[in-house]
Amino acid sequence: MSSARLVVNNLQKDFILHTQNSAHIPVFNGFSLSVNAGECAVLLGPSGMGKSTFLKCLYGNYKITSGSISLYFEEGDIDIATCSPEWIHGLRRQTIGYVSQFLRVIPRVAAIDLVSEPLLIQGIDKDTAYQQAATLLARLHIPEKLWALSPTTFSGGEQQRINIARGFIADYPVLLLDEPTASLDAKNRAVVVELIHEAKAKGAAIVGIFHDEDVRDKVADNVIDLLEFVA
Amino acid sequence: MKMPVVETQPLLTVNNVQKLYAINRGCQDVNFSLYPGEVLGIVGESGSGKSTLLNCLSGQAAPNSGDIIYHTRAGEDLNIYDINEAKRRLLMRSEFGIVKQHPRDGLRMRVSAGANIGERLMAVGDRHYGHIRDVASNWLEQVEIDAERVDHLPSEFSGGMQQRLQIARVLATHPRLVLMDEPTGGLDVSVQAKILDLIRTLVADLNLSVIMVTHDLAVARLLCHRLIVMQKSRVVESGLTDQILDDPQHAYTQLLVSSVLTP
Repeated sequence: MSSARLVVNNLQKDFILHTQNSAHIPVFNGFSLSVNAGECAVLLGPSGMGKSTFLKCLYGNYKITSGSISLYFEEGDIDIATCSPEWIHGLRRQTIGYVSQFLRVIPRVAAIDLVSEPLLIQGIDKDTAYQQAATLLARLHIPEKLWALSPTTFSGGEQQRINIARGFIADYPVLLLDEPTASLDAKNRAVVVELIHEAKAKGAAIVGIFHDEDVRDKVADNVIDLLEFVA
Repeated sequence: MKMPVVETQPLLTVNNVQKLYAINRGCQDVNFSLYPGEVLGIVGESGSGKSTLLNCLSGQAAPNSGDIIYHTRAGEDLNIYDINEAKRRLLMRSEFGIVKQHPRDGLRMRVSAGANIGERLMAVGDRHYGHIRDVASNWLEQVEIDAERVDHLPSEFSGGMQQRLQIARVLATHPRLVLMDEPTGGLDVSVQAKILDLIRTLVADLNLSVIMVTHDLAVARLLCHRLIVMQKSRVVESGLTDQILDDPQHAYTQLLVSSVLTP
């Protein structure tokens, strides 16, 4: 366990919908997982099973009903389930990258600004951040004429690649990937597989959801079937 | 991997603040800390106590009980209602900025745009006319008002321009904490978008800390790092903005989130 970066222990997530007759929706229960540096764990299970919900719990976007999500640092460990909002912010800035299924960004902001933002908030200077953003956008085949435009009018596949660029630009030590290849063509899928291999080589601990079996086989070190933990 | 560096010295600490006008009218049991560079949103329906709380925080209404402790530029922790009136006024002028919902309440409508900014600068000790005029023109440009209009009266400006002028007036003295009450309330959407973009950019560039009252959850999502949700004078839920809006826990927050078209 010495190289474990992310350890999920006995995680439970329920939704209680007070406005809809207090409907109680259990999602999963007793879910445990350990991911080492340089390893990619892939979640399996049909749609609606709670795979995305699990990633959102890891990102601090959803509240956890019970259990713990520990991140192991040189200086000690932090439990995402109980840490304060300031710490979640710190973790999102420095530690955890998240590629969500759908791009959700501030409107009216240019693609290149969105992609360089994670570096800028880490204090990296603007020229370096732009240079790296440009390199990544070019690798992901986003035409240069789109870089200065807001992605709100981009195609689904282009928006997904902006999201991927934001997730991979900062070399986060923990990466959460929610179907990053779902709306990409073969050429761009191959780029994403390369990016994942590079992140693993740099020691990232990755948790991902991939419906594409070919991509999954290329990146997964460990496959977890969420069906076993459905509440 | 290395642990992130997180700010541990709050700029403002609010302990058990209570200001009640009647039973459950006003605010009570309010506790939170605001860290430098953070934007905190206070959301809730009309009458939930948002503005009462903001008035307490801005030195305009002393709470019945509780402490509001501000960490000054000089590194002092001041309980803002334990210091005398003169010292509190100086603190408000030099370190706080207050943006009102209606520009008319935050501007002096009978003096020029430039004088509106200059007046604030003079209040913190600037006396050089040429310098004041330069700073005023510079601020007008920062909020995208043509510097040639420095001598025009605010009443000759549109509502959106007046709000941008108010923001320039407040920020000209480099406050560290800015309190805003519905800064985009009553403006049409395109004007609102422009003000929101301006606030977002200035907050990031100047590393401002902001507490903002809003009932618009889309505004909250765009600008705020963290939210507190008030109902009937109490804080019913608080946390990261996206967590509150995407996975609200309290029945009232769920109702609030489910009531808007695109939160």
